[in-house]
Amino acid sequence: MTTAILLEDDIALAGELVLGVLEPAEAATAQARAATDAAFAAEVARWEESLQPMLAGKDVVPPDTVWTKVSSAISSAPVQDNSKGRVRFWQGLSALSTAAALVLAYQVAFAPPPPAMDIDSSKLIAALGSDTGRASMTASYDPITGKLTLMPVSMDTGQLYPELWIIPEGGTARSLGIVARDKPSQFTVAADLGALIDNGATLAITPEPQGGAPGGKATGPVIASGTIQSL
Amino acid sequence: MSASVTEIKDQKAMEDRAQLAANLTAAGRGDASAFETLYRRTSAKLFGICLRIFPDRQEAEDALQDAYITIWNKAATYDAARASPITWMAIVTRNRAIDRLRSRGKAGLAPIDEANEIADSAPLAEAQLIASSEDKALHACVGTLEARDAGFIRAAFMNGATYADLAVKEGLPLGTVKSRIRRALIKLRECLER
Repeated sequence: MTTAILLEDDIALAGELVLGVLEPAEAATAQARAATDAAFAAEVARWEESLQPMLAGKDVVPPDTVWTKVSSAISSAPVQDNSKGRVRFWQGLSALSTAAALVLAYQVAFAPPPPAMDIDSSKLIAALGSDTGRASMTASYDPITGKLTLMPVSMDTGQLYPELWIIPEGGTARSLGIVARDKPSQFTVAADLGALIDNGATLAITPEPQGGAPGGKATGPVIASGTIQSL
Repeated sequence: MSASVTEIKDQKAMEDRAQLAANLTAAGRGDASAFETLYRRTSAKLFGICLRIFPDRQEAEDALQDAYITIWNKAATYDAARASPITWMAIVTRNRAIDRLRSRGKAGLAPIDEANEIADSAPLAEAQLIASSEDKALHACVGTLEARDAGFIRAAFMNGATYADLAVKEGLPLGTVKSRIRRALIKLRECLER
């Protein structure tokens, strides 16, 4: 926890995040920072509290049909969906992430290991999820070989393609490229990007056009994200 | 205004807040009846927000429905130490409504003049849950900004206008709009802290 005094730039950035004017990749970076920087998170909360009265209109009682629909939506939702909804978005290991991480740990521990490949503590993993349940995936990274292994569980990107981003703590989102939607995949990460895949950094997925986000800037919303942890 | 009346109002506001926070936290544990209580106590306010973002009543109703389903799904992430329950729900409602607006390609389309309309012309309902002192402070501070900057902030927050939308509409370079808004935000924060 830090109680550092924020600079004006950070105060403005937190305000921009709450106003919703940031580009998707900038917003993802700022959200990831709020998950790890208590002073910045407090500033975001202050802006929400400060700007919220602007939203207020005249109180109007909605028709009963709204409650009927809400009520049936929440009671008919499968338990599984509800638990997905409980995933704390940018926070570290949440319920889903923990479950996925355990599954991954199990797979890593019990799957026949590739020859001569140590399952050691240098391995980094992340479970990517979201509060919409549109996408979830596990990722594991071996800093020694530079190999990133991805196992998608669900990946709904419609007509678009899932692009993977690495967001270092307090840093800018960098693209790791378009990833497979429906099957496990493995690729070697370039050394400069591999250096960013570290404990506490965030992996995130955005839906992007074929060929990837133009100019290396995400255009779609973050549909899944997770914090990287040492195994 | 006599001090005792203020004290009673503050007391009431604190009790309301604690009650809503308890309902929201219980909803996060899957308590549907606490969620229904929460809905009954907050839906008029959140519908008011939806109606400001979507003047079309049917769209506002759909946005409200969407907002409450999201509130139910995300309730477990609510942290009472960090945000007031009504702020948290108002922000979820706003963000879902703006997502909806954007997915329809309608974000940022309302004329800035309309967004410029001072919200304090909206009658303060008796059951208004937000502390009116905070409300007044925000409106007073927004009032100290240049009218154009205040309009930008409202257009972004209420209509989902992005920097690019504002730049196109105002015929200004993107960087100018961005630096104006950032400066206005810093000025606003300084004013709110006074």
